[in-house]
Amino acid sequence: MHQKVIIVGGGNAALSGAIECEERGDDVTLFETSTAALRGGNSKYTRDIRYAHEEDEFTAGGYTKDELRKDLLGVSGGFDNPEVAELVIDRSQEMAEWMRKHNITFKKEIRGTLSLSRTNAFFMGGGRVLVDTYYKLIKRLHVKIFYEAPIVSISIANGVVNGITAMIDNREKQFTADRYIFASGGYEANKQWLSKFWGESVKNIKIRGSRYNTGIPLRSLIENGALMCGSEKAGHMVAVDTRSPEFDAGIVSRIDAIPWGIVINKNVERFYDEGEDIWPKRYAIWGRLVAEQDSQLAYAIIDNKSIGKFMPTAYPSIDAYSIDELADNIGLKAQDLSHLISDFNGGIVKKDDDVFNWSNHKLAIPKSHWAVPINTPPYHAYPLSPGLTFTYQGIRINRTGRVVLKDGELENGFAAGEIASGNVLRSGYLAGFGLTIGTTLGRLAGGWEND
Amino acid sequence: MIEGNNSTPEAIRQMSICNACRYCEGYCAVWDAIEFKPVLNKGYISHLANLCHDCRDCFYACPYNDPDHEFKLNIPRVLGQVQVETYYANIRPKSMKFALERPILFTSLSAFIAVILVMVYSSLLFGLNKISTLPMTTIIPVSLFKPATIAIYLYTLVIWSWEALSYWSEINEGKRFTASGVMRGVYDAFFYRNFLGGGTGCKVPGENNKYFRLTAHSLVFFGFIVALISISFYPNIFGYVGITYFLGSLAISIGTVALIYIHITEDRGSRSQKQSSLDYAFTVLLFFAGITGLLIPISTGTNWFNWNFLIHDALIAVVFLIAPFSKFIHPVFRLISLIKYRSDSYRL
Ligand SMILES: Cc1cc2nc3c(=O)[nH]c(=O)nc-3n(C[C@H](O)[C@H](O)[C@H](O)COP(=O)(O)OP(=O)(O)OC[C@H]3O[C@@H](n4cnc5c(N)ncnc54)[C@H](O)[C@@H]3O)c2cc1C
Ligand code: SF4
Ligand code: SF4
Repeated sequence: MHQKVIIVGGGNAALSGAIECEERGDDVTLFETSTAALRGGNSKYTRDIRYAHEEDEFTAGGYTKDELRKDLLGVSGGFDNPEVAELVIDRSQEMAEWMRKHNITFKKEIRGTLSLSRTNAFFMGGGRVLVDTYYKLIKRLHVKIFYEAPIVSISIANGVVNGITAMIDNREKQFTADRYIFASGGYEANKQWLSKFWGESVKNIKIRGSRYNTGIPLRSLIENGALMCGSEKAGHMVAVDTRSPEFDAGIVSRIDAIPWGIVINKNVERFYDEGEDIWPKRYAIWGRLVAEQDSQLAYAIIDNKSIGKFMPTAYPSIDAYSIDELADNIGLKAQDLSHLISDFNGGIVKKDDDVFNWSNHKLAIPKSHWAVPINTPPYHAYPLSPGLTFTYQGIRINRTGRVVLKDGELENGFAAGEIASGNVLRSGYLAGFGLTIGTTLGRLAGGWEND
Repeated sequence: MIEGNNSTPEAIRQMSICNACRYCEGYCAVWDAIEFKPVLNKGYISHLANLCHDCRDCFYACPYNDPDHEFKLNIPRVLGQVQVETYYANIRPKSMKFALERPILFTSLSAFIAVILVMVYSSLLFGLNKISTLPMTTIIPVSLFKPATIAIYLYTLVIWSWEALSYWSEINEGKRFTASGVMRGVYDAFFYRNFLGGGTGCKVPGENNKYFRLTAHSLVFFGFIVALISISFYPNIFGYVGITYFLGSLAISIGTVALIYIHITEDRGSRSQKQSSLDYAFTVLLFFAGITGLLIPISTGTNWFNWNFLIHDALIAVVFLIAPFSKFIHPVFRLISLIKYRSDSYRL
């Protein structure tokens, strides 16, 4: 069956592309591998965007392109594809207004996440509302949507996409189009692929986002000679609650308690400075740190004073009125834990009244800030696992949004969103930029004037 | 969906997930109030439940509401269940609990008995054939009407206060109301601040609705107040007062029809069924009260005027008599929770 435009994926990048195409008069057919109820990929777990702006009504102040560029370089160390990175930075300026025009409601004021209030705008209801709003819109624009229709292969010859194969009702079906937009996200939910880097331990890694992001279109493009970009092995990984489901826990499984206590592994050893002054910028390092421990398991331990200092947790803490009892409850050696905590409490130096300046440098691994003594029962423990947010590696594109091949470019094939985020963020992550990459590149692929 | 009698643990499970998420911040007071409590307890869940007016914005916004998702969240339903359980726990006298358990039976029986009583009473006093011809003030003299209505109002207020105190002792956490909290809370309640869902409206009866229920609910609410003020002029219920009474009744009638329509068409799965039948019983009663009120000016001069007026009075009396044992606990508990919420936030 021949279509005008085929879009692979059903998250923010795909939807932004679909809206742009339709508004330019190009009919779109969209393939989403998930059921209708679970549509929207990782985009349904988001809640804010980061974009360069002058003072506006959605944020607490202006944020220049230079600042944004500096922040991006700060987390990633450098751009893999400066041309595309600059384009995204530049076009991010139009994003909030475009979203509002397409029925997204922004919050006027935000609380809680103050560190982001100037740079990021928060939309009402979060990502589920974002994608549902766009789905309603593209339905009105007569986009044809196939659900439960994974794309299993892409056929490419001589720099041209000749067609795609979709699985529909357990049967392979071919589709062709004038133009193809690949917006199927990363491969973070593909445990087999991940085991290339993580081996056996992959079974203990939680996938925070959609179980449907298995990266099949990405792999097919790579096999067809597309150039890659973004760091291959790594992904964005944070510490999440061990009790959370293997996939799709979204934002709620993360554990923010770490700076307020100590973190130990199964052998009751600390393995990193919990008080390093990086929070919240690089709190993601804790995902990798936990992944490196025996059984990919660790415990954050705090006392009752610290409750209320960090975001509440989805699962209740494991509680006890003595350290021994706590060790029993989580199955650790009571004696070791008592020793560790008395060493920790004993060596704390309080420079002044600000707990930020409380530290313990007598330990083999120091705790450099927030060294609050653990001495006020009840004590609380949270079991930690690594939680993968997304993978970094994707497809290289050029400034028209087209996929770059080893020899040339795809004349009629574009990539947008997570699948192409490596062009901007080779590794590391800046809160709120995933959607910005998706919206700007999605619109670019949809024909947004490329001047 | 089977509903047990203690939904609090399930509500705590679900709301703890929300507390780690808070994407719904901005939809209603629940999402502001939850930020004061990193660890939720029973009293606070009851408070949150009465702050929820079941607009379902948070249900449709939630990526965890799919029945196949391990979290299985449905905040409006679980809070609706807890809300009804706070009525059960704080109804006074406690022996009236059965009225909440069988709301449709209780309401229709009360209405039926009241109508029969009024008819029997007036027939015995004046004779069945005379009723339609005697002047209304002979059947219900002002000297009876005024003290009777005042007595009924007082009775309702006393029981409401008794229940309110009980509810307040469940949720107060040893804190007090503040003066500005009271003012703001009352303001919120009257001006439906929370109904607006942070600008996105109220998704009842379905996902694509916005202001349908707001309109229906405020027609009933303000219609009721207008009618209440008008009737206090009895027996001068003609002329201007007649017009306002008519308009009040009209608003109640239209509003209740819309609410009944919501009840019939809405998606069953998203609602607490106990809550649903409480709503339904009381809405239907109000509908009949509204319709008979509407007929007062229409029937003026005909020989069924008196009959209609008597039935109408009986129904209105029932509304007040059973208010503390019905859905009409809701305005009281909701107001208390709104005032607590406002008092808490202004203490910060
Ligand atoms: C918990 C969490 C919170 C986040 N919070 C934010 C935030 O607040 N702000 C922000 O900017 N970013 C956030 N991100 C990152 C953000 O989610 C992503 O960067 C962004 O959603 C990527 O959009 P996308 O459209 O490229 O991919 P996705 O939204 O993941 O969409 C990919 C789509 O492709 C479909 N698909 C996959 N394989 C196939 C196939 N073979 N055939 C057909 N379809 C397929 C999927 O079903 C899905 O619909 C968050 C991520 C997570 C996990
Ligand atoms: S209802 Fe869902 S989206 Fe809303 S706060 Fe709770 S968990 Fe988050
Ligand atoms: S259903 Fe509406 S009123 Fe109830 S908690 Fe959710 S957003 Fe608030």
